[in-house]
Amino acid sequence: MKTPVTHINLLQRAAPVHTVAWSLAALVAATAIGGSFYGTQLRGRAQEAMRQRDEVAQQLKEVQARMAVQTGEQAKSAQAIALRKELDALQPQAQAAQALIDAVRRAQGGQTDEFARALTAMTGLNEPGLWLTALTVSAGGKRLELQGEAASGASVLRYARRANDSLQPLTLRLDSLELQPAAGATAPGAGTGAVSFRLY
Amino acid sequence: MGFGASIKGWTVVDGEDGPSMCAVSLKTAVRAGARPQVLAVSEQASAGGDTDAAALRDLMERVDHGLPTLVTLARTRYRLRVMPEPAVPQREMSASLQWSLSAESDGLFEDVNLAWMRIPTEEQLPARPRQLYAVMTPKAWLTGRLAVWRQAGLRPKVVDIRETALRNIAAAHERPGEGLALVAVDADGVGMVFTHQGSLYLDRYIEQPLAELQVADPATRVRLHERIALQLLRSIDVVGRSYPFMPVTRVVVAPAPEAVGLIEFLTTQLPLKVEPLDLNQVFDLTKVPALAQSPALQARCVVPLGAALRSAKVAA
Repeated sequence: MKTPVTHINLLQRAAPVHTVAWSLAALVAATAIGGSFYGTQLRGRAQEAMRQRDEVAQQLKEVQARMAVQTGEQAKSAQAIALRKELDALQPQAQAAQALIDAVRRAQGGQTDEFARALTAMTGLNEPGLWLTALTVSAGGKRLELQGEAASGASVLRYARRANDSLQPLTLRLDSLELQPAAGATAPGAGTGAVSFRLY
Repeated sequence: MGFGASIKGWTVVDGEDGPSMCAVSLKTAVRAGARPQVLAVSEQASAGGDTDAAALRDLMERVDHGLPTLVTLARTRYRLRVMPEPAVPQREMSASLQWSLSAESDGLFEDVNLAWMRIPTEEQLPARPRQLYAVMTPKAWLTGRLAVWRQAGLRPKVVDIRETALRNIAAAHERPGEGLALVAVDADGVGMVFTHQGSLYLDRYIEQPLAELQVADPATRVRLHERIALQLLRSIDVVGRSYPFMPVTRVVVAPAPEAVGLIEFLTTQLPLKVEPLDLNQVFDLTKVPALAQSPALQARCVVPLGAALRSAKVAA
């Protein structure tokens, strides 16, 4: 077998040294390029993540603001509802007060002082589900008669007890009670147990 | 160290720093069985010295610029040595050789460009220690010459030596199995190469100025011829003893610059066949009739022509 012929070229440099040097240079360059590229990507990703974080934070702020507005509106609505309920609850007392005013007008010819004292004593009382329809002072202020309606007989009894406590300084006392089922459910919330009463 | 089959040929410049420069362009990419074709030949006288860029530029204008360029160095510009082959991987061979040379010559070879080629004996003589040829040229000098060549528009891809150029010529004349001796006379002496299967096994150079032969009287000329013949016979003997697988049975003598009667002397005195080198057997010279008709020009161009064969596949 013929051995391949070798040719001479004296232009060849110290190949191993240069090869190593160029390899190292290429490795360094590749590492730098790769690092730069990776760093650029990393910075890009970091910037994107920061941008997304800022967007989410902004969206969160907007949602919180909207929730705050809605919460305020809800609070206002709840307050209005509560006020409405309170108004509804006070309506019977307003009617009772109107009845008292009417009664006072009708009694303008009587003893005003005794009537005023009795009325003052009665207006300090408040029994839920009970309202007065008539207040009569007679016998020179010695006799007091109350008429009204209530959601139940129990509330009438509680009212009578508290009325006597209030009338005690006036030396008045309500000893008699007449109860009968109410003819019509005029009182708000009056159910089947509604009664009309007469205290004297 | 080669350039593979993609090379279509070479433009070779020889003696660029001497009194006579020669350039040839050879097309080696030819159809199978055809001879490499010499496209151009040019010889240029030079004032000599290391800075004759103008003459070199003139020379290059007369040859093919499309081919890669090769420069063959003058024999005084390099050293060729036979050395034991270091037992190292091929990639470390140059460094190992450089280290060996610097160790034995006290730093003389530290700053050189070095190339090497094996003397192949591993098949025929596997027990024999391997040897190789190492070629060195001073790095500083070569760097300076590269600058001059660039100034002249010459950008060589290869810097080669004369022995391998002659080896290529001899290899083209070899017959299967034989060892061939090629003798080439130049202005300064007589070079000899001994080849087998295209590889160089031995080289010799006898310093014998051609001018002395030209002016010598017949008796002196015979004495000078005998000196050359004796050296040739000794070399053939060395080859026979060192490389018994390549018997040298023929001596081919290249054309000489002047007719000094060497081939006639060797033909009559040597006990083996002596033949003149016929460049037509190796090269297609139809495009360069001046070269085909001038033995003196052939003598001047035998080295660049041989160097240009480095990528050619030729058979005698």
